[in-house]
Amino acid sequence: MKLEVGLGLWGMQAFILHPRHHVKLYQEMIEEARWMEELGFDVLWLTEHHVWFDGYVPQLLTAAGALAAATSRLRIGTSCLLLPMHHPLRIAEGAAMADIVSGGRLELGVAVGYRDMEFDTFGIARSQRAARMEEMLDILHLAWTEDAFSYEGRFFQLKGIRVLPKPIQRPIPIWMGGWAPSVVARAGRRRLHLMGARPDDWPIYEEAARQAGHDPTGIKMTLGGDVWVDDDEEEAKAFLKAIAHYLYYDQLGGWGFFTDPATGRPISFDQPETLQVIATAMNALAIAGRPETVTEALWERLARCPKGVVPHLFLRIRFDTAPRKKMHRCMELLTKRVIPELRRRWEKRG
Amino acid sequence: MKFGLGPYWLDDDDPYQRFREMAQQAWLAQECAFDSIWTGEAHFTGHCPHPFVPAAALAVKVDSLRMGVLCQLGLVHPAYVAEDAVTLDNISNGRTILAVAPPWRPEETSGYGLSSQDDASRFAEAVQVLKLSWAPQPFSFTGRHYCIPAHLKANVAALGQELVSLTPKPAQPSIPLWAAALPHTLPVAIQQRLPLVGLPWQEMEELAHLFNEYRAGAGSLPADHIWALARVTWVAKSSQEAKEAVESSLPLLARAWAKMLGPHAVSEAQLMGAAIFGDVDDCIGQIRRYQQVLGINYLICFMALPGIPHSHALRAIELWGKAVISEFRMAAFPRQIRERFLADVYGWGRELAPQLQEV
Repeated sequence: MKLEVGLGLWGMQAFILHPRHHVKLYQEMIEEARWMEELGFDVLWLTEHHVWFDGYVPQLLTAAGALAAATSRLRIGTSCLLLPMHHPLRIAEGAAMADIVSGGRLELGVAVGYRDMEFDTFGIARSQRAARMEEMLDILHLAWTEDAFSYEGRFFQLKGIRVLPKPIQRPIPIWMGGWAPSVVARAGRRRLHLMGARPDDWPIYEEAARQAGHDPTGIKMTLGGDVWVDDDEEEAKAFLKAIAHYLYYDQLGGWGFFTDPATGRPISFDQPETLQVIATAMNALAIAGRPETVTEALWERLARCPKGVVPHLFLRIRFDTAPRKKMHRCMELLTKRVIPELRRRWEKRG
Repeated sequence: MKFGLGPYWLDDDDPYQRFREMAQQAWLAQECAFDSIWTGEAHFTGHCPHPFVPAAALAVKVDSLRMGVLCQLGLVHPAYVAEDAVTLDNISNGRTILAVAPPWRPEETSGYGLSSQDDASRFAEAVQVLKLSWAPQPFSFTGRHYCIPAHLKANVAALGQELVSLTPKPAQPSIPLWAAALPHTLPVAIQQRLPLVGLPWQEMEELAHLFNEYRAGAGSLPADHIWALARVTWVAKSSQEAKEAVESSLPLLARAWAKMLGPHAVSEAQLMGAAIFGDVDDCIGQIRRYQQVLGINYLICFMALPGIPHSHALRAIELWGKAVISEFRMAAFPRQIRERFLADVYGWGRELAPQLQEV
C-alpha cells in the first residue's frame, strides 16, 4: 500500500504575525487545495476552533463543501472537528452531505475540544465532553448504517430517526484525535483511526480492540509533525522556529491548551516559565531543513510505526506567515525529494 | 426585478448526480442573467439536511451569483447557523443571502429532541442571535432557549467572560437575512425588518394577506426593500409544451413535498395554481400579476422539476434568462424597443451546452 501523505492545517487564521482578510484566506485555501491535487498529495486537513479573535474556521463541513467543488481527487479531512460541541444529527447529516458533494472523499477526524469559552458559547459543560463524545460516536454510526434508529442516552434521546441521504462511503472513515490513554482506548474499542497518538500508545489501542473483539490490523495512525522544507537549511530552521514559538507559546497559551497536572487548571500566561518550557519542548519536535534533513527526520518517525498499523504521514506545513511562493516550494520539495524516498524506504521495509 | 434559481432540495435518488446537475444549472444561471442560486433544508426525508455544504460547493463553481440558503432555525443552537453562514460568506466573497424559517414539520423538531410548541419562540431568539453574531462588536444574549455565554460553572476558564465575539465576521457589512412568509414568522420579520419570502406552495391570497400585514406593521420601508417570492416555474416555446411538462412533474413534486413539508403540503391542484409556466408571454404576464398584487421585486424560480430530464431543465433555464429576465430588465422601456429586442428570443444566442461539461 502506497504511503499516504496529508497536509495540514487549514485553520484560516488571520495570525497576529500576518493579519489577513478572510476572503483572501479562503481563496488561497482553494488554490492550495488545487496545488495539492496537482502535486499528488492525498489529504488536506482542516482544523476547527470557535470564538477566537483570528477567525479560526468554525464550521468545517461547510468549508469541506467548497474544497470538494474545487478538487476532484484530493481527500478532504477534518483535524479535528470538535464533536462534543456540536449536535450529533447536524454532524451526521452535514458529513453525509460533504461526502456526497465530494463524491465520497471525506475523512472525519474528531476530537473532544478543550477551550472552556468554546463550550460555554454553545451552552455545553466541558466536563461532559468525553461522555458526549461516546454518545455522538454511537449516533454517527447508527445514522450512517441504519435505515431508521432510536437512541436513548444521557444527552441525546432520539426516536425513529432517518438520516438521509446516506453518505457515499460506507462508512465515512473516522479518526480519533488526541493522545490521552483514555482517548486511544476509545479509538481502539471502536476501531477508529488514530490522529495524534504516539507509536508508544499502540499497546493501549491493541488491548482495547482485543477486549472489544476487533482485529486492529490496518488501522491508520498519523505520524509526522510540523515540517518546513527549503533549499536553504538555516532559513528553513529559522522560519519554523519563529512560527512554532507563536503556535506553542502564544496561541496554545492563550487557549489554555496544556493542563497543569498539579492543579488541573489550564496553563496560560500567568505561568510564563512553565509555558516556555512546554513551548521549547514542542518546538524541538519541529522538523525543518533541506530535503535530505527532513527525509531523515521523518523516516525516524515513520520507522517507529507499530507493526500492522498503516502510517498516514501528516505534515503540518501550512502557516499563514509563510510567503506563498515559499509554501509552494515547500510542497514541491516534499513531493519531489522527500516523499518518494520515504515511500521507497517504506515499501522496502514491507 | 431580480431572479434566483432554486431552492434545490437534493433528493435521495443518486444525490451526487443531482448535485452535479445542480452545479451545471447554477453555472448556466450565471451565464443567463440570474442573480442568485438557492439551496434548501429538510430533514429525515432524503432531501438536503445541511444546505450550507452544497451552497459552499456551488460558491466555488459560480463566482458571481449570490448564494441563497433557505435554512431552518431552531433545530440546533443558532451559533452554529451563524458560523455556517459566515463561513459561506467568506468562501463566497460576501455573496451569501440567508432566508430563515422554523422547521417545516413537527417531526423535524421532535427528531432533534425538542418540542415543536416552542418553534416560534426559538425562531425569534435565533434571529436575534444571528444578527448579534454577525455584528462587529462582541455580545451576550440571554433568552429562554439560548444564553451566550452560558456561564456554566463547569467551564471554569470562561467564568468572568461576559461577552463573546463569533468569528470570522461576514465579508459583507452583514449577511442579508430574509424570513419565510409564515404567520408565526411575521412578528419577528416585522420587528427586525426582515424581507419576506413567499414560499412556492403558498397561494396568492394567503401571501397578499401576510404581505399587507407586514406593510402595515413595518411602516415606511425604503424603495429597495426586498419582496421575494419563490415559485415553481417553467418556460417552453409553446404554452402547450410547458403545460405538458409541468403536468407530468407535479404529481411527483406534490408527493415529494408532502413528505418534506408535512402540514405545509398542498395538493397537486394547488401547486399547479401557484406555478408560473407557459411560453415567454404567459410567464411574463403571470409574473406581472404577482408584481401587481404582492409588489414582489425578487422571484426565486424552482425549476428542478422531478421526472423532467436535466437537459430539458437547462433549456428552460436558458430560455428564462434570455427572454423572461431580459423583459424585466427592459421594464420601463417603450414597447417598440422591447418588441424589437425580444422579437426572436428563441433563435438568439450562443450555444452554451458544450461548456457545461467542464462545470
